[in-house]
Amino acid sequence: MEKLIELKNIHFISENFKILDDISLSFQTGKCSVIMGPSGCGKSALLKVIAGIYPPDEGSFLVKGEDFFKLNNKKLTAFRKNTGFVFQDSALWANLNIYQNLSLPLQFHYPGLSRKEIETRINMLVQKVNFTDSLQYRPAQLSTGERKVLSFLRAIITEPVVLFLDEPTDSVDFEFARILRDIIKDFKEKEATIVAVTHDASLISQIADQIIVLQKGKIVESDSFENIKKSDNPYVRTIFSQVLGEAASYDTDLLDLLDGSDKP
Amino acid sequence: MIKMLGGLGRWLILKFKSVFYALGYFFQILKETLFFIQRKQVGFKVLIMQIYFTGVKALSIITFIALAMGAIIIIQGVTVFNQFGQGNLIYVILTTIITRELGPILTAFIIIARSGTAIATELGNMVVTHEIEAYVATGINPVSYLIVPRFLGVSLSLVFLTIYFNFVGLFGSYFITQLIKPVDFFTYFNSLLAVLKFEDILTSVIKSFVFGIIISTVATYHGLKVKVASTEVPQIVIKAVGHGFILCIVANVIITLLYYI
Amino acid sequence: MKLKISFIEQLVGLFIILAILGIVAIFIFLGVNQRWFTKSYYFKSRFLSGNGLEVGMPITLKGFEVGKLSKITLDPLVRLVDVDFYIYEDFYENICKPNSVIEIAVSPIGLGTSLMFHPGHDEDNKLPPLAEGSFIVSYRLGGRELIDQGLTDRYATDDSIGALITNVGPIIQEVEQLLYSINTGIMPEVQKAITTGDRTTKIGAIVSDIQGITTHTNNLIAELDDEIKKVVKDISVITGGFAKVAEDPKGIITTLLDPKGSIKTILDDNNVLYKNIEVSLIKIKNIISELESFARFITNMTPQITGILEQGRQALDQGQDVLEALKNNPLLRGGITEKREQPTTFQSYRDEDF
Repeated sequence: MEKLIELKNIHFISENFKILDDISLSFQTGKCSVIMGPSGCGKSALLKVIAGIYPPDEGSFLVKGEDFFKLNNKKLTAFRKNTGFVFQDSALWANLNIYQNLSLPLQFHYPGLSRKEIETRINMLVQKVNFTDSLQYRPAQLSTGERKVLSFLRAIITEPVVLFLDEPTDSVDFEFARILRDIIKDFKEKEATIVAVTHDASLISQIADQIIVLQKGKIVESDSFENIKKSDNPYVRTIFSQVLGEAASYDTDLLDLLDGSDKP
Repeated sequence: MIKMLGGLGRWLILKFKSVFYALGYFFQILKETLFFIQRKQVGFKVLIMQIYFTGVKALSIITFIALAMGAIIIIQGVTVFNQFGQGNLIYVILTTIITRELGPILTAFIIIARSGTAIATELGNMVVTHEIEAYVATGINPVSYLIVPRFLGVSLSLVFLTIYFNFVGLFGSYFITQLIKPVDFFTYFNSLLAVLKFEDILTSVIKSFVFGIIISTVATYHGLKVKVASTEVPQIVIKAVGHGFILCIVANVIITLLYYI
Repeated sequence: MKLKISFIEQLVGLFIILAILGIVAIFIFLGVNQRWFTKSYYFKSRFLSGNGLEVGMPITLKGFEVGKLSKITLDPLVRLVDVDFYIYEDFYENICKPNSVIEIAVSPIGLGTSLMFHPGHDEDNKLPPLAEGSFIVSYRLGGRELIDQGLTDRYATDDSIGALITNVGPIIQEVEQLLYSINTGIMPEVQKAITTGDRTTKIGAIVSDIQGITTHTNNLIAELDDEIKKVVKDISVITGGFAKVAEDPKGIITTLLDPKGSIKTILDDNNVLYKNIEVSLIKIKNIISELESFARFITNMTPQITGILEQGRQALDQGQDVLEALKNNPLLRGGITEKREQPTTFQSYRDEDF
């Protein structure tokens, strides 16, 4: 399988703090990776480095074997067109209304699309997630959950083949979360490459091929989901128990819990 | 002592780095500006909005100040210069002050206070809420989509506003003057046109365009310098205003000197 | 197809269009007003100094702008200032006549410089205009002579400061020349004539004449004094006689009628007393006629001296105006106070018929 994204000895410093310390990872086309770790361990920063949003201070970041920061404009635009990023805090553009938030990526990447086509595509997506509020609303007029959903819609509106998801189902109500999981699963089935930061056990169990566990900016373990499940690293087990919450206290096999978490 | 020198050295290196960073930033704006018209980008709407906010919406305050300045100069000038039979000097003073000096710089100050602060605040908040990152993630270059329209919008608006300032200051204030000290319109109009030079208007336009470049670059530069917290925003706004004022005054002095060389 | 254009876009469009129209209108008005679209005829001239000259400076005729200065260069070889200027098409044919003069009037009190065009004299407007590129003399480099000869029409400016600016230059020059000639020409000769009595120069002759005349006059006056004293003495003798008569108790009439009376004795002296008085009176008459001729000489001499003095006085008067103008700096207040002309008691040598 082709290596889509590769990180080699990445260091990332922000405000004089080392956020990521010597990270080497690779992500294969069509595979889904989940980054896990406690709050403040650098998950979001790592995801943004992987998505090419944060330039690392050291190390190399390769996309299909090419240095990402030396890609020409055409290749870079193609990469962005084919990727979607869901931010933890939604990061919707506050000065644009919902319709404009969704139409902007389309207008940018598909300048030939007519107003009508854009409208059709937006309406289709909005119906998919049962969003009923007016599209003329500004993000500030929506609830946190709705903003998260719209952020997700914005990320997928260009029908990307690579998804970067930062807590996509966090602070979203049960129904929206279910819809989002279904959409992500659809992407997975269409062999999209997914890198997600999530603590949603259900989502992890449905999509994860690879698990990366972080501690204070360093990789503790990075392996296939199958192998990680069997890990006897106490840190990994703690993380998993946190993900599963109360469920962990039953002292049952983590594997069973994760496998069955989405079952009714 | 050595510690102090070391600190000074580090400070100097940081200053040099930030100056070079700012120059690189400015170069990037220029580069993206060249591509702006070429690319049929969505940023054109942002440009329109920027001209609307910076230009159209500032028109009332500019008109008011230009009227007041022009009327004051005419009233004072007519009173003082006529005392020794040099009434015609009023037109020279009027064109020099309104067209070459006060017009562009006052307009620039108003725009720094109105749009410079607004731009820095808006961009600062966008950084804090990760909106800038969202643009990057979507593939939209923040410089070409956010900065260039503001750069062009402010620069063009300042040129247009200065033209309005000149118009209102030179001709509009005539009507205010009529209420206090009547002067014959044709005498006024012809005398003004006799002393107004092409270079005056050119200087005015060049100055306002340069001020526009400075204001937009400084405001966007500082706006994007916000890192993580919204508490940084007011601080960078103050910096943007201060640097804007200083750089505009320096540019004004340089252009005025060039005019006389 | 009707496009959807938002209200904001319409406003922005209006904002831009109005500004562009405004600036275009200004340029059109400026162009018409400043004659950007009319042909200009270029000429050359030369000045002693480029002080106050500025490219773009208007050239005026009777207060009207007829052209502009376009180029100023210093010729380092002859140390004169070469200028290029142009005259507007509207004026070219009628004012650019042969013998035209261009004059620079610099204000020494910082009220600017004016550049005036004096057209060559052309009574019936028959002469053809000067060819473009011709050389037009400046006032101080040949123009003055043309004006003095009446070949050029020079118009004085009307306003007081303008006139002052126009006149102050030549006045100061004249005062300078006057003082220079007094210092270098007259004073050494006067000094020499006084100390050595040298009569070889005109001034020396005048000075020693004046010296001689003064001595002679003094002698005359002394002589006159003596003669008058003598006459007075004689008259006192006569009056003394009359006094005696008056004291006579017989009464004055009786005494006068008495042929042997004292009056007769006073007067009956073979007219000696009368003769004495007569001689004295003749002498006085001679002295007076000598004084008269001296006065005539002085009168004949004075026009030359008074001419110089008068010229100096006028120059100093105008200089005083300038100083007063400086004192009452117009930028502060005042200007030049009205002054009643003091008529001269002397006639200038220029006023005399030749």
